[in-house]
Amino acid sequence: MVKKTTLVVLLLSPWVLGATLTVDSGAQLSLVSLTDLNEFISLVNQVIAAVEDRPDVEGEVSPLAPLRNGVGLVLGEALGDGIAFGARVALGSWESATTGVWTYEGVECPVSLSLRAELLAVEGQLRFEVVPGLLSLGMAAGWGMVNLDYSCSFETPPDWGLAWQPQLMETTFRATGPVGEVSARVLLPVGFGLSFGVEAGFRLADLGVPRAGDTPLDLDGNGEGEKLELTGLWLGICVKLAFAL
Amino acid sequence: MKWKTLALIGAVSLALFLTGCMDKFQMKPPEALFALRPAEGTAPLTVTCDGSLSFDEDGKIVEYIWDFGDGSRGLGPIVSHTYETGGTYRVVLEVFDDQGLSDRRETQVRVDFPPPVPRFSYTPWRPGTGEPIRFDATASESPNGDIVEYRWSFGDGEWDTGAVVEHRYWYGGGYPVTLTVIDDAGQQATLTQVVEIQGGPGCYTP
Repeated sequence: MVKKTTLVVLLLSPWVLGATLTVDSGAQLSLVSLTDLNEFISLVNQVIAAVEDRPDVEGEVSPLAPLRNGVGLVLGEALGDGIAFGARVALGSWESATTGVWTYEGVECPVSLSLRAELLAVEGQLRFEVVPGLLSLGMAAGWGMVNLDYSCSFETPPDWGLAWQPQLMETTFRATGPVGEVSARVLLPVGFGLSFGVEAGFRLADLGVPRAGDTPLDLDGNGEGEKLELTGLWLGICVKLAFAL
Repeated sequence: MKWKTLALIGAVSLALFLTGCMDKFQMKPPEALFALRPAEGTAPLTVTCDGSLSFDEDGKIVEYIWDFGDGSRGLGPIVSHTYETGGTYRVVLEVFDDQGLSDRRETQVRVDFPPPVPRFSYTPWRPGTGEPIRFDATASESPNGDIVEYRWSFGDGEWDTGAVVEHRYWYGGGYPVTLTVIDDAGQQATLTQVVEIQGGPGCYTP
């Protein structure tokens, strides 16, 4: 083991010595569509609207906001000048929730529903300096894991038969799969190897249908399952530190 | 080397973008959603089926087809249907959008059988102690079909079965005679009348 490590270090040393190590971190705003989950949200909102339209129901439950904009963090490192190789870790989170109480003939019907998707992606990255120190393009590929936390308590007036209601449960569904992204970064060097900048990218995350044990995510109950489509654009701000080795 | 890397990043970017956008160009089917009011009750039960909760994200719904589960069907976003007999019925709504895509959803309506109607008469009108009394429940009826069982309780600890029965009381007074009828749907109903027996000591205090 020691011999192998020594060999790798010796082989890499001509390339590493004199190269630049960059460490960067940033905050991201991810814009995704999450089509399947948003269809589920539309169904929930239709049920909420239908109950609230009833004159014999009092109280208010706000509709769920569509899952589109998420926030995230990214931490990366890369080694090389001009063309740099490295690794990065990205975290993202998307959330929508509602809560409230309906009152029907003096009986309270509490409602609480929340959806929270969290993505963790570990990727290898390649960065290419188009304008050294100022503009770079990058691509990354790796593996991602997403957790979807679903929590629902949903009571409707008992005299009304709705053909569908959100499932009452509190479960975490999980999916894993390949992720990849491309990005462009514009930096403003402020000295001592420190730069601030903005970046934009496009992430492809093919994570399929999440599962909780053997149970696939099928919130709308149509038997087809919901995919977590975390593919989309992201915008971010970043800080980069460069060290000459 | 630099230009090859740049071209590689460009090609990957384009491929990722096109793959990621593929879903956006696909047409989405409508979502069928409806409410029944009421969803359970006693026959005959008229149910309002409201399919106007259905929606289509990228178009509009042009057709609503209902299957009420009792052999009849309906069209339109909001329809009413009457279930004449008891049972559990599967109601299915299928909606079609203007792109020809469809979705269906189903739920159940529980219709309870109505109870039978017990009726009985007795002769003679003012019976005396020891006198045979004829109780006749053949006027009883059931909207669910036939009455399959008649049970009598004569209020003196005696009981009998049958549509027409005979009974004697050995002491005067008022006796609560109870008839229970059961129909072939398993529904039952009870009727009680007080029969006054002339002569002898009384045995019934209301």
